[in-house]
Amino acid sequence: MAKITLFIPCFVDQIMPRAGQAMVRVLERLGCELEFPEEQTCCGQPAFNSGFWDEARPLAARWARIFARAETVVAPSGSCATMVRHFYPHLAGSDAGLRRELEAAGTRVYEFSEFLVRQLHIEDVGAYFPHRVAMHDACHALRELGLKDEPRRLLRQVRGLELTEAEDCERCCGFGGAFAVKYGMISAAMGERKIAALSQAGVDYVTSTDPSCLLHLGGMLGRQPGRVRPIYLAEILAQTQDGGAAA
Amino acid sequence: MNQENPARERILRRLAAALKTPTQPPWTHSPADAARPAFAPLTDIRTHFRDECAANRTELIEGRREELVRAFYKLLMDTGLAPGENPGPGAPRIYAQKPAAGVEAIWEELLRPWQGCSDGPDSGPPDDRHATSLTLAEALIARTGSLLISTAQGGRAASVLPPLHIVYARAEQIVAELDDALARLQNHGPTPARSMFSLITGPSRTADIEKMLVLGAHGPKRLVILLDA
Amino acid sequence: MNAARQFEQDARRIAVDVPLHQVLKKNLATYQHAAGLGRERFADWNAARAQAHAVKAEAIAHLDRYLLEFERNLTARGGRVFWAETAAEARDYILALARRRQVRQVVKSKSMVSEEVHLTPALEAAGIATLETDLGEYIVQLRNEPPFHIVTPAMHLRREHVAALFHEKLGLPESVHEPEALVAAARAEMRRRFLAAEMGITGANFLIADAGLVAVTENEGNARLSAALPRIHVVLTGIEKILPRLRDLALFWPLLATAGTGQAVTCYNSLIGGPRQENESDGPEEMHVVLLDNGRGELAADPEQRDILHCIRCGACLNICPIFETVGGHGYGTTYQGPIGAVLTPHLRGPRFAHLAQASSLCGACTSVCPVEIDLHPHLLQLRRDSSRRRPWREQAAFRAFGWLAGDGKRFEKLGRRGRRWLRYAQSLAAPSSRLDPLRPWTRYRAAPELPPESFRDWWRKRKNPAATNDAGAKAAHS
Repeated sequence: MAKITLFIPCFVDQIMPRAGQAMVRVLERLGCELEFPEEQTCCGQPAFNSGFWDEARPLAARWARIFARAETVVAPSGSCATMVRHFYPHLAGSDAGLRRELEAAGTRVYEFSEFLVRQLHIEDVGAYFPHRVAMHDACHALRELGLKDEPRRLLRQVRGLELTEAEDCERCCGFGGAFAVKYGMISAAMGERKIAALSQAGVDYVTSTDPSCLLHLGGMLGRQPGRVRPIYLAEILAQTQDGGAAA
Repeated sequence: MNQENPARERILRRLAAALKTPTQPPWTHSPADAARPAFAPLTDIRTHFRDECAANRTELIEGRREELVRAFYKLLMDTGLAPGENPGPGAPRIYAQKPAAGVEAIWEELLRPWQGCSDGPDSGPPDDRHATSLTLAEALIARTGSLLISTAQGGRAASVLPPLHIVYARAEQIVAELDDALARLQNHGPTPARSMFSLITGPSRTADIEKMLVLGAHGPKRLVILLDA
Repeated sequence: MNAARQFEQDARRIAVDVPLHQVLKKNLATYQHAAGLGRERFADWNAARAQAHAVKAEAIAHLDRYLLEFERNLTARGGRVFWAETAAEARDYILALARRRQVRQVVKSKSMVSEEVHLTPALEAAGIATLETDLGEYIVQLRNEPPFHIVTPAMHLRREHVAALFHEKLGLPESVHEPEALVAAARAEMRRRFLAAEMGITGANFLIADAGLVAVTENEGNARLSAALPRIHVVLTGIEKILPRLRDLALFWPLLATAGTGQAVTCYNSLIGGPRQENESDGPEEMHVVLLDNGRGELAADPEQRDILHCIRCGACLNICPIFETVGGHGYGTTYQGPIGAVLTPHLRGPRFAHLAQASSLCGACTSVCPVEIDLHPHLLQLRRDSSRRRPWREQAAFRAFGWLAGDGKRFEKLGRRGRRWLRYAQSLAAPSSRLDPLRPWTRYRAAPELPPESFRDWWRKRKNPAATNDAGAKAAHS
């Protein structure tokens, strides 16, 4: 099986390790050999998105160095995969050498569902999750990576899972990184609308290709009554009938 | 003129300097192949024209000349726009453009009820008293169910001022694409001599209130094409 | 108040305006349905977008040449062209013309450029009665409001609002609520004014270089009346509206209609190339085209963001934008709203509108629907970059600190662990979203995330080497 280098986004490492852990479990169950370069920190997206490209650039160069020899890089986040794959080259400016390095860095990076479906050609990972689930299309995964059907194909193969489409599933949840705190009122209004659609769909869980959306939606759901809970895609796929989600 | 408008040189100079630097490649690329045609070719032009007219609320009446003439009378009778026995100053008036070469005969037939009326038919500039206008068209476009008119068809106002606009056209005037109609305007060189053209696609409309469609916003509430097959 | 603070204040108010959001949701859903069907009329919508992008790129790359070609061909039919570098020059030209010709009444059809240069207030101040004749514009003019949306000026109103307004201003019975009747009343009122006006002002959707024609797209017929009845016709538009060839309209007319309203083409697409000609029966005695620069030339000098000039003002990016739907058109405080407004306004009106680029989740929906493929969300990123050194020092310092923190794996790990511990402690003391809560900007609207004692890397290490130690913290301290 494939040899995979794990790209664990900084916020997953620090705040939502369970998303990364679940991805590890699924990949191991499929027989992948995993490595985790411990020097990795952050790809630089927060700084880049906020306009601080001078601060993001060394982080991008650093990331490219750390992952230079990796054959296949898989990340539990469409957003961070997008950063490396699509946005890195633009950080180089007129530095042609750096641009080459950064362009090369992105070519082997995949979002988790993209890797399973497009690279491994696996849709059934043997998971069991007897709940009603709606998929929220995370913006970067959907629009920059073109991942619409991939996560759904995986979910359709999960035993017991009832996949439901909520209204406006492609609409942004309102997270947007620093935007969520800078313009919290707009971010929250967008989140409210998402949650209303999920509640109307009557689902137990909302899942996504990006745990960052779920961090935001989870925070909002935590403040209101209702039964919808956030769960990252890999966390669903890690569950098996024999309770295989335990560490 | 340049003395009157010094900004002209400044704007042009600024643009010339600005555009020396080539545009940077875009970040996002459409997955599409720009060489692919945007529209699929039409298989049946006549049917497509008919369907598009229905979709855009153009009333299309097809038939032979005498059928069209009958339909025209009936239409005006039904809407109370035909001249009565003794049309007075308040009677509905019709505007009709001067007939172009080749349509004199049908024009005479269509307008027969108005012969001898004190109030029309008029072919000078139309005004607000005209309840109906009758014009020709430069071309009909199947792709969108449109008609193209120019100032040769009664000037600028005739096709937009009255609440009912009736167009007489022949089936062979239908072209498949907008491009065919536009190319025709440039038959005698790239700059057409006329000062106005209009592509008309259905009666005037608005959806400015709650996105609800209402016909007859400022222009005609009804657009009727008499299509001579 | 500065524009950024004003935006924040308005956004806070409008973000919780439930009745407004209900109206917008309904109107935008109607649009999305129609636009979706409209795109299906194309064999390949994305191919059409790519072609349109190429045409506009060519037009803008040689903008100076095409403008001269347009001018030459239009003046050959007796049209006059006036070039205005600034909003004031455009206003002054039209005002002076109106005075010289003893104009007392003006009818205007929709033109966002006239909003940009604040033409109507200038004419009114000079004692020239100026009537907006597009129904939506007419409604917002009666309400003394700016347009809410570049294509649908009264998108924020229900029929009840319009009924109440017409009752008050036109004396319509209070009971008249049906759109049909409301439209008829407005038509009758405006028709009188059309017949009396001496000057008609329209915008332009496209300026056709090879034919010397101004293309005006509309549905109602008010632009056609404005260009037909008054003795003077003035076109006020931006220099970027150039299309090289008349036949480009075979693509751009359907493209604009589809993206703008979902129609195959709009009801009226007119081409106007001068005053009444000798062999013509009606039309104005004079036609003037005012070409406005007002910052566009400088935008053309930016090889990275030049494609903002491709914009055909269809409004598709507004209609899909969740920010637009949350803060509404009036929340922006600009002539051009939504994503295109956020990227265009800083170029037209300076860096005091840079905050608009911050007010985005960068979801990219705008870019995906733009019919001329403007790099909208990349431009938001670039504008954030361009304004980064003007941001509050705290924010700049925070990202410098972040860069330092993430610049070293061990440092990141150590400070991350301490940070989580400290935040957990702080959370145990301060009530969520209270002034003392260090996560207040987050917890003001959401519950705080549960901070795990163990990071992913702690877990990984422990799992790979269970014998080493169970205390990841101790291990980190040794290394």
